[in-house]
Amino acid sequence: MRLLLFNLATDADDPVLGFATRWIAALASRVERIEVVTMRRGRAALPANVRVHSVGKERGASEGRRALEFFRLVRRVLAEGPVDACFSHMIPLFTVLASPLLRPRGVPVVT
Amino acid sequence: MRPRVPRDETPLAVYPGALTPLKGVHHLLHAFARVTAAVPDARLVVVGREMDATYARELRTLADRLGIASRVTFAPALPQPELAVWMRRAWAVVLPSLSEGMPRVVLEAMAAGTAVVATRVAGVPEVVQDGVSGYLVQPGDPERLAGVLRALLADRRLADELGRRAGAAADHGFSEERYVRGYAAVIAAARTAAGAAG
Repeated sequence: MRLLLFNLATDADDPVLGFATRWIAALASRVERIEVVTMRRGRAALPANVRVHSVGKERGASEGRRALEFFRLVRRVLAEGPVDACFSHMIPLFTVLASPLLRPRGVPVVT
Repeated sequence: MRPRVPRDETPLAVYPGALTPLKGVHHLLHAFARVTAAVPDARLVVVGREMDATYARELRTLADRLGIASRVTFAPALPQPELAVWMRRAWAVVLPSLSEGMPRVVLEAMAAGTAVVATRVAGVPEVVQDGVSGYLVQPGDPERLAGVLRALLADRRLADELGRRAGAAADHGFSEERYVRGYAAVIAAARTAAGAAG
């Protein structure tokens, strides 16, 4: 399974959201590939079958820039091959933004 | 991860949350005033952001008026690891909210191995077992809140036992392994359903 995963932060050092990085590592052992599109990237040692794409909050990107980057990243992930499911964790904004791209392809979304 | 600090020797209750009327902190102060009559060495630490400055001022005035100002400490919001230490030190973590969703602090208190005293609102009864991992009371009932808080703060063994059960419930119910297994199953089911529909 190729899983697209949205989250607020992929950062093992985040005192609140650090657990999400461990979740990704645990999920990675159950699927072939995970493509993470995250709002903010920090330190994250993840298995080789996980790729993390950030929309750039850690670089101080503006909201508009992040929105554009989000669409660019999701389009790229979808263009590279079929996505079997999308897991959107605690980030409904990404779920809504991605909907026009995922629905036509029949990608189920788990929130 | 459970902080490796011992529980305080003297009875300590912690309220972790923002200072807004909807959180019912005024009910907690009224209840705590009743508790101190029976447990004179009890302390209450209110940890949270003053989201409503007027309300925060009123709470301090109320503590003065109730004669418990010396027993109550108001502290600003803390980073989660520091708050976890306060939760672990406490004999009880109290959430007297009039309304909630699924308050994360309840899960954090249980994960810290501390008994929870909370109001029976929204998702709280789904995680706190009344009389097992803590106590549940109706919102806006300082009399009943005082009763269960007094029971915990007057009895270290009871606080320890309920805290132990809360910790066990958190370890079992909210473990990373359990969440990941559950999400993996839902994702697989969604994929299967989408395949069947397509």
